[in-house]
Amino acid sequence: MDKNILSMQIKVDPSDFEPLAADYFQNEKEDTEEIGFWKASWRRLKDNKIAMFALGVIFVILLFAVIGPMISPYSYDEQLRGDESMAPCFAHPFGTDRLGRDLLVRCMIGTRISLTVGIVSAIIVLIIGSVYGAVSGLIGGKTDTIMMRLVDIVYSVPEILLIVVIKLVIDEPLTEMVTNVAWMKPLQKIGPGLLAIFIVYGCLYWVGMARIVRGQVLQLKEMEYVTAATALGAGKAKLIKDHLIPNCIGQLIATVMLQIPSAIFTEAFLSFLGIGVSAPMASLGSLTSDALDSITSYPYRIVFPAVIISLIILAFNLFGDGLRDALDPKMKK
Amino acid sequence: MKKKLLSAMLCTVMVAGMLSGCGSSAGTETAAETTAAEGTTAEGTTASADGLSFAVCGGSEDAMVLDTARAGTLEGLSACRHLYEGLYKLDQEGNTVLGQAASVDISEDGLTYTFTLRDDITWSDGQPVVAGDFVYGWQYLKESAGDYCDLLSMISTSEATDDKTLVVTLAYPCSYLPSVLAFPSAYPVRQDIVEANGDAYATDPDKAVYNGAYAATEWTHQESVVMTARDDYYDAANITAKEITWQLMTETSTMLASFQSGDIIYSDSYPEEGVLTGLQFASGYNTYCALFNVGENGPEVLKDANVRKALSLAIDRNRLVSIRNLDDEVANTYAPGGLTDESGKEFNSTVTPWYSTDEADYEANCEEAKALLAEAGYADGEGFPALSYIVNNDGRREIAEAVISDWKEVLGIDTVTVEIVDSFFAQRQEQDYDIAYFGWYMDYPDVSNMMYTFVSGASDSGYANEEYDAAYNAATATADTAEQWTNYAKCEELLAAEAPVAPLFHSQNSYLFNSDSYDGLVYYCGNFYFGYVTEK
Amino acid sequence: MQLVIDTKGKDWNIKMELFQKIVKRIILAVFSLFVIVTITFFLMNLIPGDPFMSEKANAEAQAILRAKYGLDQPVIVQYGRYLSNLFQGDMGNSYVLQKGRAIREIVTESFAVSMQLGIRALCTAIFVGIPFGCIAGLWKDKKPDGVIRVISAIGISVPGYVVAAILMLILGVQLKLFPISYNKPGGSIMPIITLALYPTCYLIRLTRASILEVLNQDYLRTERAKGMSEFVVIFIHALKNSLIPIITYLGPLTASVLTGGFVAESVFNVPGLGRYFVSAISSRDYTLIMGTTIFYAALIITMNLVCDILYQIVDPRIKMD
Repeated sequence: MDKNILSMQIKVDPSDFEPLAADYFQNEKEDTEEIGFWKASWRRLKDNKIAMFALGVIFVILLFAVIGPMISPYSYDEQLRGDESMAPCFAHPFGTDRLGRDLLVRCMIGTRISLTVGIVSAIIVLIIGSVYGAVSGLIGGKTDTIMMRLVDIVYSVPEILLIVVIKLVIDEPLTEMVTNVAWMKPLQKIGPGLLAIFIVYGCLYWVGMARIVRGQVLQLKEMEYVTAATALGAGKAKLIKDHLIPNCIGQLIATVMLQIPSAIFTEAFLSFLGIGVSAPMASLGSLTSDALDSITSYPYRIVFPAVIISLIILAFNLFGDGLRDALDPKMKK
Repeated sequence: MKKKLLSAMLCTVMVAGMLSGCGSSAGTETAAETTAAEGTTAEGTTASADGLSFAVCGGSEDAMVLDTARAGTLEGLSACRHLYEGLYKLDQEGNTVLGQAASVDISEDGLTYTFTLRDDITWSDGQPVVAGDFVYGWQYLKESAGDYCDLLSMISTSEATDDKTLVVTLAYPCSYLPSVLAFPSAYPVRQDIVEANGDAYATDPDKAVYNGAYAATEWTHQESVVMTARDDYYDAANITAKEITWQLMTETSTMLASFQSGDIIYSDSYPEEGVLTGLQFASGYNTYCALFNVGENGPEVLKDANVRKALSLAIDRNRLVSIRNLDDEVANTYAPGGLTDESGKEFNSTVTPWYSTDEADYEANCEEAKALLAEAGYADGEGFPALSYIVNNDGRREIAEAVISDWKEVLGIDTVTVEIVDSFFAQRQEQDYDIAYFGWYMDYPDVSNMMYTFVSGASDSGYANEEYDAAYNAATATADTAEQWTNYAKCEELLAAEAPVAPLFHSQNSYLFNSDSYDGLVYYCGNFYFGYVTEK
Repeated sequence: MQLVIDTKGKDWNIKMELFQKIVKRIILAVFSLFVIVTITFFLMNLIPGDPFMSEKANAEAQAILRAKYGLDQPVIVQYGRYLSNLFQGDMGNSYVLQKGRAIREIVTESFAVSMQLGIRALCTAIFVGIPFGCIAGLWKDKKPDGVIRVISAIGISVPGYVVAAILMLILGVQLKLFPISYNKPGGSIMPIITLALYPTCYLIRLTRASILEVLNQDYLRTERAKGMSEFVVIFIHALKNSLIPIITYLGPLTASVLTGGFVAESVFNVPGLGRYFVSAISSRDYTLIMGTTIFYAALIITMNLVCDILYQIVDPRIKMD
């Protein structure tokens, strides 16, 4: 140890220094809070090999669903006369169905539809659930109690039953609206069946999200810095923007990711019951349930859509898990 | 979840009848001491001591209605044929013969039938079957408001003059009355049992009594019904199958798997796709169609006969038949084949075909269709409004998809979508649809039954044409077949010109039966009877 | 688990408070049930069609039947009548699926079957899922872990009906190992596998994650530092503590296994309540729809209630609210 260290002379030249930019502190704040959080999360995610692999699978499946139908020589509803019920071969790697439709391109479209169902439903759930949860948590008191009772009730409804009932109830009015109401006409292409699935899913599965968001809100309300912010006159909007959203976002994204496979499962179940998407549109669920009928004669037909559906669900589950760990390290479960 | 709903045929009749002792026993221990003729050995099956025992698929639980007045599906009606018996029944060959009646006396004018019941007929609780049971049964049929409550509309009065004599008077002569009386809905019913059980009548084995060859002995709901042959049935000696287990299944793929694994030897439904071993065909009086809604609620575009004709002409019917691969016959008339007069002449041979169904003529049909559509103002499908084509199951959906693909390719119409709807029959009846599946399984092989479906007010298509009604009424008013046929041919002509319906093909009745190991199935017009089944 | 209580009076107060909360919860549960009944009743009547629609039935006969069962009256009147019957314990008779049979009989009879199947599936899930999860967790990143993780990952991502179909095709038709119908000897094996696969795999993953988390906890390090054998550390401390999140999952799991048998039941012909769930709706069997709804909703509500009360007892820190 050098005892003289304190007595060392440092030569300082004022020209070594520059004045700070006016917005320096502001930037720094953002750097550490915002970008730092995302960067750290991304780093954690990158280290998680399984999650990265799942992300790769999702990417490949997305390519398959989005680009695939564009480069396929067939369209999903084109019936090739003379090519009915073919086994997998060079021209039709997945074979053709009874009507002579190429199953590869139908799987691609089916994947597209199933992914759409998953993602759109998850977004619907996210919107309804987080608004409901946030409102309930922020207002508190009697309103909160009543709103949460409603959540409890929806929670205890036998879901299969309600899914089917709601689907049947809204199918007809939806079909009518889609064909008659001007602004809804563009929706005709995706079909009233698919719209009904979104609505059914949105009606039932927002409760989980609502509970999570409300929990977060209540937790935040107790935090000292929030009390401080409120004391300093921050309005509710500012509270939501500055504190609530950044704090919830990790858990929300992860929950949404895990919501996607669940929505895809629901759609597959409805297809199994024969009330899924409208023909000739295909979803992975309708393809598997169609293949089920001919399973003893053409067992290979169930393989491709079933494998893709399982891959999607697996990939989203694994990626969702990884994302949750990465975005919310303290909540590791 | 497909079920062949209500495609029952009245022409069917079953169960042989003869004499034999009365007896009691609710049939629980019915190890019949029969002198059964042919090979009634029971190998590989859990049999009662000296009888054959096997399992079959009896459709789903809701089809298994064992109340004759309320049964409406083929499976339920066929099951009823095992448990109950009417004045007439079907013999081993499927012919209509006397059943519970020993003899019948028909009056000169054909309006009065006097039946004398057999002396050896009993219910499974030991009580004799009396004429009053028939009178009550027919009254009960009307009150129950089941699918076949109108079946006996030709009967004006029925009276039991004593326990063994039944006098039936008809409103009009009816040559097919024996077929009607052999139909389960016309079977006798015991008033005391119905009154004792109320709504629950025949919902469990002990809530009904049986006068047929079998008694239901076990009913595990949603799972199986076990029927055991009654040894006090008068013809027990000829009943070879001693125990029949009706497995109740909902999934057609399960039915097929069970059939293939040997669990069941018969199934009435199966997944329609694929090459199946054990698939048998029997002629069916059926026309499978696409029905256009031409009524008030129907879409404007379908009110134009040219559009309907164009749609009908553009369909490649031969392709539909090859896709189904079920031995169907391409349809070019509304009435199916096989409707013959006394001389064996076919009704269809007297009708001008609506269009040619020759494969070589398809191109020409398409050209005509295009021209008609252009005339209606939708050249190349331009501006054709969105329509939905409703069906009620997957198999029918595929056919509908093949049809709309023809419309797309030939006519350029890509705005029709196919929808499986859950409330199919309600929607079709209320004319709340654009295009719908329509498949008429005739109740009895008489042209009137087919043509009735387009009489004003009776048709789900909303079709109403005075000329048509006049022709139909003229046909039904006469007893002369030639005159009837001339009028029915006129009806066909009107339908061809206006095309409220597009006939696609005439389908066969089909079922799975293990004919390698078993023999003796009686199958007639969609009804089946296992009493005479033997092992090969 | 243990409350440290100094005085008897305080103990009594806490018990009283708990009791009041439970009563409050039960009242709320009954209210929830009422709301569900109401919603289902009106939604059900909104579905197009009625119980008496069929291909050949004529309009007159249908009208007679509708009048007989009072379906021609306004929905609100029907609802009032249904409620008043319900209070007298009468759930009516089935209109379609089992024409004329009492709903109470149908529901109890078929639920007994579903429960039998469900409990066996649940036991399978617990006795396979938890041990394998432990193995995977304790041998993290070793071979058994890898194998178990791959299998469990596949298990949670295949739709139930695909599992059922594949089992039926391979084990039932090709190998003829098991009969396809439930009422044959051994017929319950395939439906149990179908029903148990997802929860088993989910439990494996849950147990594994939970074990891993506990193994990292400080107190285990303390135990080790204290010189406890690794055996005691793992089996006494780690397992015990990692079971808590698993137990929390068992409540919803039981509910879903008991109510979620539709696929297994319809494919393998099991006479359970799950099949009625959907077929009652598609045949518009109004009384049966209501019967199954009330039964299942009551089941789920009770299950949630019991879970909440159990937590309260197990861990008083959790607020019951």
